[in-house]
Amino acid sequence: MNVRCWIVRRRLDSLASGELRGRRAESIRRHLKVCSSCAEEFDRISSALNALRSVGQDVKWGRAASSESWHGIRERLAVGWHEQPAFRPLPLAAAAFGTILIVIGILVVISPGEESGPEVAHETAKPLPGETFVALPEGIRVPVMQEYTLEAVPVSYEVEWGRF
Amino acid sequence: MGSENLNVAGTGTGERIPDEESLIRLCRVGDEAAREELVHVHSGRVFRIAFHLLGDYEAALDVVQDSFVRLFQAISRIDPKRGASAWLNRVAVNLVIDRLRKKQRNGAEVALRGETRGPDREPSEIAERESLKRDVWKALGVLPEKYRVALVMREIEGMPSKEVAKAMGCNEATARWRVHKARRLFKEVWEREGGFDRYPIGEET
Repeated sequence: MNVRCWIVRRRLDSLASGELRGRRAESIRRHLKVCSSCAEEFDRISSALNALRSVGQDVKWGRAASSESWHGIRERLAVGWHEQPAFRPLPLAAAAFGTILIVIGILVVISPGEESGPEVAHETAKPLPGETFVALPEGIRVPVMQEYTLEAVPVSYEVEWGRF
Repeated sequence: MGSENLNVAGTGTGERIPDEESLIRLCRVGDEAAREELVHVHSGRVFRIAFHLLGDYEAALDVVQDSFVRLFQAISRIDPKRGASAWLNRVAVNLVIDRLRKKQRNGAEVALRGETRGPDREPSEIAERESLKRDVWKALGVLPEKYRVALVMREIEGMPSKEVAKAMGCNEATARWRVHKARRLFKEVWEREGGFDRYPIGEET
């Protein structure tokens, strides 16, 4: 298939449906006269579209059918008709999943962090100068270990480095 | 109906009916006769679109009724100058797509129940046309939704691209492209399904 055929084939459906007119249509028709392959393709497209259009010819809609519809419409309007919402599992599942995520997010935001408890306890448990007990919020007193300075250690250790 | 102050248009049959703008204004104030007239004006087109997309007479009738009930429920939002045509086409297409998707989900095949109400034909001819219709619907059913809708509205219903675009909620260039692609897809499916063998090229369908 050469370039000319490729260009023509892209427009065959428009020609077959009567949308293409004027010089463009003439140009394509001239090509179809000399190119059997494109002419055959044009016949196939025309045939398929004719089959498609032919089904439309049989459907008739008269005044009687229209009146019948009108009665149905009037009945539905009279009873305040509303279409039943269709059950759609995927959107429902997505909505449920989204709700769960939001709830989890809210719980994470409002729940106290792990560090906050001990921090408060540490502050309240700080001993005052001279005290040997720490007062906890619940009224519990916890003994504080004595801090020993180097001078207070009764035994001194001398280590001889490098000789084993 | 009180049409003394209304614009009227000739129907070609001597009967004079109010134009669509006047009909919509009357529908807004609850005029039953105007509603009925609006149904008569538009129901044929809505039915044919639904019927060719669904391939089921009863389902298409249901779409017609649904579409008009929605129209009358929303009539206060319809611009009388623009008319109800585009609005109805769009609602009908959406209702059809909903039904097609529901059928797909349920795994049901297209019912392919239609009525041939053509002029008097021989039984063999009727059978042949029924067979042709079934094959066309089968081929249409293979196409993706958007191409099927575009093809039915443009090729079977003969709607201009502008109206196809409005009904499909896209711009005109997109609608033209969809129609173009749909024709090529339909031809491929028709060929693959043996349409050219059963209905040879050159024979009047």
